[in-house]
Amino acid sequence: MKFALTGNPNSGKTTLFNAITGQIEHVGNWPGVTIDKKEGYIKKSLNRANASITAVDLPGAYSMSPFTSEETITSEFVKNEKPDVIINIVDATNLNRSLFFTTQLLELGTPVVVALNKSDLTRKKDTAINAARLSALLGCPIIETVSVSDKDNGLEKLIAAAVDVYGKKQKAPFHLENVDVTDRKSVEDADKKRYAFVNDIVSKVEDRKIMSRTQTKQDAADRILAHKWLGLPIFAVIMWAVFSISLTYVGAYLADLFVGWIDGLYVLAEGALGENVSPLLSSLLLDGIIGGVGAVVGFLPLIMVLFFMLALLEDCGYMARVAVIMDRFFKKVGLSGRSIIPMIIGTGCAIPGIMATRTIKDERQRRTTAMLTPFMPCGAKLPVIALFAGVFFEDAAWVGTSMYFLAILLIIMSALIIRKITGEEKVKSYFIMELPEYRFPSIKRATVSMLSRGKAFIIKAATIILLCNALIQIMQTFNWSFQVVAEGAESTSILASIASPFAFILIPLGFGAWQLAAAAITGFIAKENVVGTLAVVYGITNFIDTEELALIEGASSVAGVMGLTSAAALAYLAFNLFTPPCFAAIGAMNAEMESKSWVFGAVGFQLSMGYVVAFVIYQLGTLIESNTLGHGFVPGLIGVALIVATIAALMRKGDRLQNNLIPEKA
Amino acid sequence: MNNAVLVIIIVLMLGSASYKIYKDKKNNVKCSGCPSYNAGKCSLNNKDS
Repeated sequence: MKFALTGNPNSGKTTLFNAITGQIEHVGNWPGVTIDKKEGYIKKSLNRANASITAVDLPGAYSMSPFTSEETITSEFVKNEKPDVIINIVDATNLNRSLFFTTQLLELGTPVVVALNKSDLTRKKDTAINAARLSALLGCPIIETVSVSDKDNGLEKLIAAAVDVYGKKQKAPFHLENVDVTDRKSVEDADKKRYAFVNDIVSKVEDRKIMSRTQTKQDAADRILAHKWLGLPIFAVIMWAVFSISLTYVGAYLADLFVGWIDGLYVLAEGALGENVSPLLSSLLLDGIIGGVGAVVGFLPLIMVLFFMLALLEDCGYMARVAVIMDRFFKKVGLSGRSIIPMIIGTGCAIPGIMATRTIKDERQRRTTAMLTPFMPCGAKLPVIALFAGVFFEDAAWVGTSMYFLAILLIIMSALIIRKITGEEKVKSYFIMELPEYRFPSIKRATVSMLSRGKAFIIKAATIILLCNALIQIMQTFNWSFQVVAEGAESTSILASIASPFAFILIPLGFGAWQLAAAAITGFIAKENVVGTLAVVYGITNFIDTEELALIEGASSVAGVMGLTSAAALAYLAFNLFTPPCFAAIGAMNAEMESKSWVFGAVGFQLSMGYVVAFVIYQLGTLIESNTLGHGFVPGLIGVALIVATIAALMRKGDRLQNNLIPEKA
Repeated sequence: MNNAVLVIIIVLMLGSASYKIYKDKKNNVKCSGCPSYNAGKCSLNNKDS
């Protein structure tokens, strides 16, 4: 048996899917989280019929006439793949809007069971829904559910009802014939008739005490949190608090404990190896594998606390407000309002963020969003932020927050540049997003999200990071004749000879050491590699001091080893954050952009932006710090001028294209 | 511990890491070990492809 889960966006489909299948797919308290279908088997505890039942979680849709790609997936699946039963998740707090889609599903003939979800919220609002009457009027079973609850959630009843209707023919209470879908007027008239039918049903079954026009506390909160001018500073303060808790207080305390265990493992391994083993092999295991991986994993508690906090923000409904705050700025630079959603998803990982751009219909906006989403600091970049913020700056929280806002600023500037380069006219875009109600965030959901992300982080550390660190250790141990390099002659190693030419280019950015260049290069494989490689090349087993409850001796020890000033460290951090993302994310860009020239253009643009931003930070920072310009100012300025000139030339070409002075290629 | 045992340990570690990456690629997991999503199995992994 195959059950399809359908419903309006943010009606709780994925939460219900997770509850009935036991899976932990990503959920978010805002519309548009699911962009593709997902399958899972229904849990045995809920499946009394003991039949093999697959549940398919579909993206949210408002109607069977699709407007977006994810609505198309839903509409095509229920029409063409003929699920045995459709479970229609209806948001009980928005009955009018939800039943429009329900009446369309009932017309398909496939048996439908309605899950009247969020029933707890309707009770809180003193709204009563007569489920039995609604069932009689629609001609299908109605089961009240609370998918976020563990007890009395109605899920067992829901599955039993779905099994019960299996194989039966569904009758439609409302049917429209002869609607010409190509004629706008005909479709609008049909929709009006359907809405009238739905309104009539709702008036018979719903007793609502608070009307939608009544101003509630939620509206009052929105007037402040999503305010035109106050919204952005409030967002900055919230992000600062998030970074403060995760990098300075709770996260740092947990990291301190955790690093103690990693150190213990290192000592244990060192003792077990004894003195009879080859120093090369022992060094590969201790410094390359355990040291390199341990240095990255040491940041796990900080990252987990950060993910926990972000999950709380998402779950309480705040992140949807951030989308509204940012929409005003994005619209001005020719991005779609929908561009914000991939970018917020991208704060977790750039890849799903890039993939979420497929919901944007306009090709240029979709490609631009895919190009700019990796600027958002993703989870993999967090250890890099934590390391540099902790080592070089006393208050790590402001560094993390400023990197987020610098990313947003870069996205806005870049969108403007890309619009000019592509020669596209500014199209007025409208972003309509249903704001979810504020709710007390679920500690359980945030914990599940944090643990799953933490587990994934460990998997990544034990695979890609481990292999890279082992390779880095080998490459810095040998020279091209495969002889062990002497102590003090590391610059003759394979690694140094590969990284040195790149290091030369990076001198105007303040970090011309081959070790730093090597770390930046390995960052293209996975951004956490920057931390792992730095640990291996500088021979540091962990960056977090277990006694001082701070990153090793503050700015002295590690910073001294790296030989970086604060300005250079900030520039290095920005360079790693704003140059192209990891190869996997570039692959995702390639898949979503469907154009080689856009992909190569994107990588070139990201490299240029990373270089220019790092140059400005280093030179300006050095000027402020020591009243002199940094190393390599003149050659760096020439390089930046070349980049700017190239972009300006492309923008001029775009302008001419817009003014039809040159013909557009077919 | 002697060198042979240490070589076996290192080969096992590197081998299992490589195998996991290979398996993920084969299963079309686009972001092996991505910190955002479940156990490296990105929830947006397109099951149609």
